[in-house]
Amino acid sequence: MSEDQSRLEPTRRGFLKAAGVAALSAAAATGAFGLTGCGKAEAKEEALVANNAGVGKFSESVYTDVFPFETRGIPVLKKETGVLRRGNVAYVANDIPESEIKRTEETDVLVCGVGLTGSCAALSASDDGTTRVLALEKMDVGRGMFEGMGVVGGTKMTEAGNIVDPAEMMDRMRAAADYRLPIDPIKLWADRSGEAADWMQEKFDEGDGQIETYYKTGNPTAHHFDVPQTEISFRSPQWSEKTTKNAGGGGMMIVKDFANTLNKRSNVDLRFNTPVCKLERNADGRVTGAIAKDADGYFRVNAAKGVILAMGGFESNPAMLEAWCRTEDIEHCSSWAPNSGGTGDGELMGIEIGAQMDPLPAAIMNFDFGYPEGFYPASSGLRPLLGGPMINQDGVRYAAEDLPFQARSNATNAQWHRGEKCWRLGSSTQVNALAPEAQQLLKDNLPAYVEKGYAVEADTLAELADKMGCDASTLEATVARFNGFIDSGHDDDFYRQNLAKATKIEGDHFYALRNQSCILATVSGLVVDYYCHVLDYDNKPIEGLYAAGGNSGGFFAGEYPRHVFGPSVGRCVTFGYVSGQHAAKGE
Amino acid sequence: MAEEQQAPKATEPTKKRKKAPIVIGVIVAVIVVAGIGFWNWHEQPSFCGTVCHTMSDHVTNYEEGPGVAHLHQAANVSCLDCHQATLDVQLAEVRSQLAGDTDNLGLADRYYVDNSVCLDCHGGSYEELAKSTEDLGAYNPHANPHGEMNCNECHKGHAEQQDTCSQCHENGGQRMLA
Repeated sequence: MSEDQSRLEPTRRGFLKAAGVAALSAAAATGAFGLTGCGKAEAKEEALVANNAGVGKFSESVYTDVFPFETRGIPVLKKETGVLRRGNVAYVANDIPESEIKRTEETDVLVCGVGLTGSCAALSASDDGTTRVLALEKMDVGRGMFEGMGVVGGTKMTEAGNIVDPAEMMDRMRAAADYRLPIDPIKLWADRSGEAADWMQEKFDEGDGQIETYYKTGNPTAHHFDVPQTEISFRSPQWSEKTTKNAGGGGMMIVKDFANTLNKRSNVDLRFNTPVCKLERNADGRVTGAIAKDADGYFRVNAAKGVILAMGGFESNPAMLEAWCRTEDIEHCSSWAPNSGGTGDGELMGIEIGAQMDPLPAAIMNFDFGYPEGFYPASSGLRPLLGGPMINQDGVRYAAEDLPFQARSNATNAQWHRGEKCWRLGSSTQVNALAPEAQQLLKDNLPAYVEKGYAVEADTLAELADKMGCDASTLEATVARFNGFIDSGHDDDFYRQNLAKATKIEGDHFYALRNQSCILATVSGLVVDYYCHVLDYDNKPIEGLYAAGGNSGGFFAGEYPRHVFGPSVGRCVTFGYVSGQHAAKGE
Repeated sequence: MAEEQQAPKATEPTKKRKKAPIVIGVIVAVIVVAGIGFWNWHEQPSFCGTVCHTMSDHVTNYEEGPGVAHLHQAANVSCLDCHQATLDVQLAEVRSQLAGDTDNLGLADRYYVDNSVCLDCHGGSYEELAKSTEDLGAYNPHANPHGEMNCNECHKGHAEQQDTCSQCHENGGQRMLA
């Protein structure tokens, strides 16, 4: 057993369950199976990170076994997630035998994960020019998809005259979580995000990307989700119009610029394709370093001053989404963010050595405008139809269309079969208002969606209802009522505030597009204090361990509040900066 | 197993030794023939679909369906060529079967196709693969600024192809085929 245990027995529970048949398997291993040659005898060179080695669906009990206390299950509907995006898992649940650890390296600060948060942490920790920083990323480049950063205060906000009361923003963030939060993480953001934004500009100035932070007023959130403006944006003369226009395009360039700057610093060792797999904590309770892996095999890193977890969430780990999230949040949804690195490595590694995880179910960042295969591409030309009334499986309107993303997603998932068959309605009125080339793009692309059942079109509402599978008179009444609200200026049903922007569903042709939730990220993680120390379940800091960005917790509960401007990236930068500062001092 | 049977026979009286090699030879021959037969069967898609578990539509859309699996069928590539089943993985699966843990077979993980499997035939390395699609120019999806992506992010084996690039930006008019 012992030699094969790491591959055969991925979890403790799995080990116990399988014990009864272990003897049979052992016999099979040396006997019949070997003789028939079933299976490839020569093992392939093992991937550095893999879906089937560390944590996988077949060992999903790891997601409950990892906790250091007895857990209970709430009976919820068990459904598979619609998320198809799967990243490669770095975390290794099994003990890694000493014999497999090829070498030991020494550093002061080990940064695990080098996306936006890890880049900031590594820069901050190495700012003094002397602290040795080893920054390890499992993928071939650090990922980053973002456009703006939520901050309170700082030079750019002050210069623009956009003065926001930190206490108010702290309260808005806490209110968005229904106050299911500790004090420190939100307070850290409200107090120091402005300072972090200024520091970030200094790092841009040090880099070669000519990147500038600037204040840009966001579209005010309608409905009763109005909040102060808190978003700083990014620009660079080196970025093409496409980079600037593309969702999240600038973020990628920022992470690239930071990697370039890190590589120029003599006290930083930045490596890609090098997953961190397991934390090490000594008998005194201090985290002393971690076990990582590269092409030569496992190696130990001793971090004299501290380890910073910056490995994001678990949005690219479908089995973990199924284990830790609400069924309705993850079933009829797709994934939107090509980062692929968020597989829960940092959360699992932390919990394994006693770190406090945010209470489950985990909070997710969800947008609508999704269809079963993804997010409606801009190139499909269909987005002009996605602003129409939100209609459920019965042909009934179910929410105000001016709600923020998370509210629209939640309302959708509260319909029949957790949002399996919700739609957006459109008509020739909306299409005819488009430029000729936009009309052509829509007409060219719609048939493919119709063929797959994601869209239907018809010349009458009754025919459209038939294709949608709902009652014709119900749909006709819904549309008449919606059009009436536009005339009267008042949404009697859902209190939509921006009816002035709405157009009627009328004309000689009608459309319905399937509309469902998309997951961009998970935003629950390891609870930290005001200095980004990871806390244990007694709220005591775990010496030598820090967490930041999507890997950290105590910041969101329920859902990501999309109506607040930029808190996720605000947390990445601020906590990366603060954790690096403190880890470098070893305090 | 053959060796275990051989061991006790070797200690029997010398008189019977003459027959022993023949008996053993026959047994071994039968096992080898059966083994070859089993091996050949085991290599067929029908084996995966009938012996241990239902494969839902994975086998049927290997023959015809939305994923790239049916293209591999046309090229005479069978299930286990891509879903590389190492002995330990297969044993772990058998153990789950025997333990009655059939809800948790985790076929998607155990037989997950990593990039290395695709690259074995397609280019040899990600960099070489990228060269083979260089004519796609600025929108070469295999040399994109995001970094290496999992092949099956877009090229789904048993599902609709995903046009990942264009979910966020223009991609030079490329569309996923197959």
